[in-house]
Amino acid sequence: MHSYALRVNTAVTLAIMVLAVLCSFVSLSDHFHASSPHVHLEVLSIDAFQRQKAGNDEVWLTLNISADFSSVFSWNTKQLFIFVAAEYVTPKNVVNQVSLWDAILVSKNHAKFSIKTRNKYSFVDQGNNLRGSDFNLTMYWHVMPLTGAMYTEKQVFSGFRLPTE
Amino acid sequence: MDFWCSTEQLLLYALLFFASVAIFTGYLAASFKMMIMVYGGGVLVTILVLVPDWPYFYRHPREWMQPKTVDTSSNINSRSRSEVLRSSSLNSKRQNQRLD
Repeated sequence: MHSYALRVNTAVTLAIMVLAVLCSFVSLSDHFHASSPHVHLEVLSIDAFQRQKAGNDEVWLTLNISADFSSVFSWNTKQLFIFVAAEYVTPKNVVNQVSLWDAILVSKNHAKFSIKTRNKYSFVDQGNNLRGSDFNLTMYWHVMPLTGAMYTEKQVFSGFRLPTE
Repeated sequence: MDFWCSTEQLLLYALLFFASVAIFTGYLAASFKMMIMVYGGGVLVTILVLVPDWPYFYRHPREWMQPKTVDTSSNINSRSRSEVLRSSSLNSKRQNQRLD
């Protein structure tokens, strides 16, 4: 070790390797973190149910979303991406998932909220099969950690129906 | 160094020590930032202590042996057998004197 540059190089390389091991321990500690979020979703009203020019059904609804995600945040959580999706079955497509609303929660302070809002993104079907169909509203949350792998969980609320008009 | 381990080993042990301190304080404070700052501070302290040429590093230098002449192959071929044996025994005697 005859030059300063060589010694600093060795020290910094070793420090970064130890940091990698440290980060893997941190992401493993997330396994011991118990999360219990409370979510409630409901449809307050169907505001509009129209047919687009191309022949596809389009729905606008008002949702009441209230949630408490503060227990999902651990010391290794960077942010939480949550979104509400409507899921239904039509004769044309077996699986339909339409994202209606989303938000990014950056810290524990933002994690508890309750809002009444119109769907952010348009609820459009491929075809005109939405009359009188049942749909589930599912709340998904993606937990993005500071180090480690992202995981995602969901909670399903079923039993909503669109009017036959 | 006349320590219990070499400087390179000491570097690794110091880094591992600061990493364990960092993960402990970070977990207790529930803050990733705290862990990184403690570890970063530890790395800087380690570099300051171990990298520059401090006087304590050359306090107790190790005794090295004197260099001995090498018998090259041309040398061996030209010399007689007894000469080669004598020179090698002389060298080993010199080595023995050096060690005590």
